[in-house]
Amino acid sequence: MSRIPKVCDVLVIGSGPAGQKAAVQAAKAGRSVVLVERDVGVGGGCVHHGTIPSKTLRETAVYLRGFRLRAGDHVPIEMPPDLQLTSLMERKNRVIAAHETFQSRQMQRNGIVQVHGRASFVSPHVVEVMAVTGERTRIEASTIFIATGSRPRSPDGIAIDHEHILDSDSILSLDHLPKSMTVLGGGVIACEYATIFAALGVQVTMIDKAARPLSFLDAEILDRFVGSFECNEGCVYVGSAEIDTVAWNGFDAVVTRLKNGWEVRSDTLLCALGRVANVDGLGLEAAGLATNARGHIPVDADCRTAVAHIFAVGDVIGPPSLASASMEQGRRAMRVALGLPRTVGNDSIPAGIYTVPEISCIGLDEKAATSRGIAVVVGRAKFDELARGQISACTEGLLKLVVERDSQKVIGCQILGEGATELIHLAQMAIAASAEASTFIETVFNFPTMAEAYRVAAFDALAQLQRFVPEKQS
Amino acid sequence: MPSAAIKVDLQSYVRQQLDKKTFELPMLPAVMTEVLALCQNDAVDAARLSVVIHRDPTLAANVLRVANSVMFAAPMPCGSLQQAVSRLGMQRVSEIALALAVRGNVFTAPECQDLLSRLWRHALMTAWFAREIARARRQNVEVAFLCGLLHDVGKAAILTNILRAPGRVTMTDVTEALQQFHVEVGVQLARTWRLPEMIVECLECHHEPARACYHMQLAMAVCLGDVLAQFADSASEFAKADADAIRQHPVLAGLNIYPDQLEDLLKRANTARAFADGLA
Repeated sequence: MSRIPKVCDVLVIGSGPAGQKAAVQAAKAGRSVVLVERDVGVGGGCVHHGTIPSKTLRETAVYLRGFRLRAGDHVPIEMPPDLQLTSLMERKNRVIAAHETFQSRQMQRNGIVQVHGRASFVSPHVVEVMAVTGERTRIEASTIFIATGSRPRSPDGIAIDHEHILDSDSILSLDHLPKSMTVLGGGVIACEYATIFAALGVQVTMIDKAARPLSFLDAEILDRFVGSFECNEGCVYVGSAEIDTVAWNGFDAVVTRLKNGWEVRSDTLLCALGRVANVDGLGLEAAGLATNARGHIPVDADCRTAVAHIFAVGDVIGPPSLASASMEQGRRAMRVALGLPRTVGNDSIPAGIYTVPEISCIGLDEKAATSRGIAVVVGRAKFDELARGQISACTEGLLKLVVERDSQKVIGCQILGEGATELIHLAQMAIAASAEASTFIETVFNFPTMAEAYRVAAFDALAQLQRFVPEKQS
Repeated sequence: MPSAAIKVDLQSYVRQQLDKKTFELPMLPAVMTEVLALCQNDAVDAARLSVVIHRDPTLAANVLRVANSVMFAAPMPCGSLQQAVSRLGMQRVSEIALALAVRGNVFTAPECQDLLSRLWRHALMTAWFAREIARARRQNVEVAFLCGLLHDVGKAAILTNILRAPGRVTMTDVTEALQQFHVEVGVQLARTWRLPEMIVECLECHHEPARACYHMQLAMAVCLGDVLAQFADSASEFAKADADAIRQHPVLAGLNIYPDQLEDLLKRANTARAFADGLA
């Protein structure tokens, strides 16, 4: 580690989405930057265990499912019983390598010094980095960013052996598709993997203490999502369930016993009961920092910690724990840290859930608007009413456009269906531009496209608005 | 070992045998090929697996013997293969069956049984370490075990072939020939047995994991498992590894194994030895 500078302007711990964008911002502002990553390569869990590999598998699952739907009975697609998951994941390594290479080049181009090792605070301005060889180097920095991300939570009483009982880091090490899988949890990660494996033909039982998964979602979107999941053969969501024990029976099944006496047996089990911040070994106390009750590093609106020159960004500060939000936190916080002009940002960040089918939403839904006393109408477009939906066999989708009754402005949108995470950006731009719903009618889109859903939903919303006019006049 | 007066150039001999395709590659028993296929199939139950293993009575008896050994034994001994399967699980029984089949068909030659036994013990410990490394790295533990078990299978095949070499050979010649050709022979063997390509690549690259195009992490896990097994088995004559050398091993960086994690693995050498004793 002889080439590691002993002093730098900015030290960033963690090279995931948040740390990387923070480092690049600092370098572009002309500061000397050191980026410490404890894992091999750059990108953090996002590139190696999370977003990138799971979405690569998802893409394969969606293609297989789509091909079955589109080819109908004419070109039968059957998965061989001994299908190796590794063969479905063949592209994963190439995708990761390409992404990592791109990111690494970006770092080099910006003159960022990348250091492989574990970082821990020695004092508020000094961090010690231990390489895998055990060699230690101390680096002093004026500004320090903590972007160490999160890891899957291992609940007490569930022995995750990464062989039969897996977490979201080890689930992709499966080399064969199991016949059945139990998924513990009802959050985003649980739902994403549950639906990906369901689309690949695995019988998935989701179990969670919540009555319904993804409970923060619009109820109508959620109904359709659960319905779509349970349409897969052998797939079911078991809500309001308390887990008693989970154990590999040493023979052929993971047995999950619920407190109501039910027993679920499956070939494998995925434990996706939340994530915890990676703060172990950071020596936060040496920096004058502490975590909150949830184990996150507390920060203010600018992501500044209790120590003025130390910032924390990304999963380590808690929700929303979205890669997109983390990137922007890193960039904006670094501008604040370096005293650069604050950019006028739009705080409305879409939520993208890469289930099969996808879900995405932005702004307010009907319930949230009503609770704030905002009168709204909701325009709906069902994907089976769209020409492109029929052509692409993407008919199970729904787009909901939330329009403020008085101003007729778009204030929210929720989408379920393939392409939702791309489609949502039209709503995002409409909200950012304070556009009225009629914009989607007056603007001509390509035909046939899924974007036509906005037009259909806008017509529906405007029709409802017209019904309110006489009431107002009277 | 052949002991005629004329000293043979063993490396040339093995090279010629390989080039002329007269090098004899041992076969796995047909039953084992079927067992491996069955274990990839989720619809298979314990009864079916035990029926297949029973087709090879020697293999069946040995699986039962190992299942009842100290390493695996439950309070009540297993009286039947199906009981062993239900107690240990299909995966563990198939691992035992594979280990025994490989040992019986590849690691057996009365003329050099002692050498082969030590090679076998090393293979078992490498498999154990590779599995634990894979677990820590969130890789597939089952595949890592298999790759560890088979990583030096080429050495055993070479040993049984050079018994037929004319003339006198020395232990140094044998060791050099094993080092020179075991990867090439191991790869040929894995292809002959139609093992998955990831295992073939791992066997090919277990000394130089950086050469692996698709499964570098797996190759690195076996590479480190190999040196840890050498460390654990101080009786090994093929190569010795001391803890300080392991601490400097370049593969640690690729696997992202930090000093505390490595020390934990080194401390578990006794467990690896016990595992090997149970199956040896």
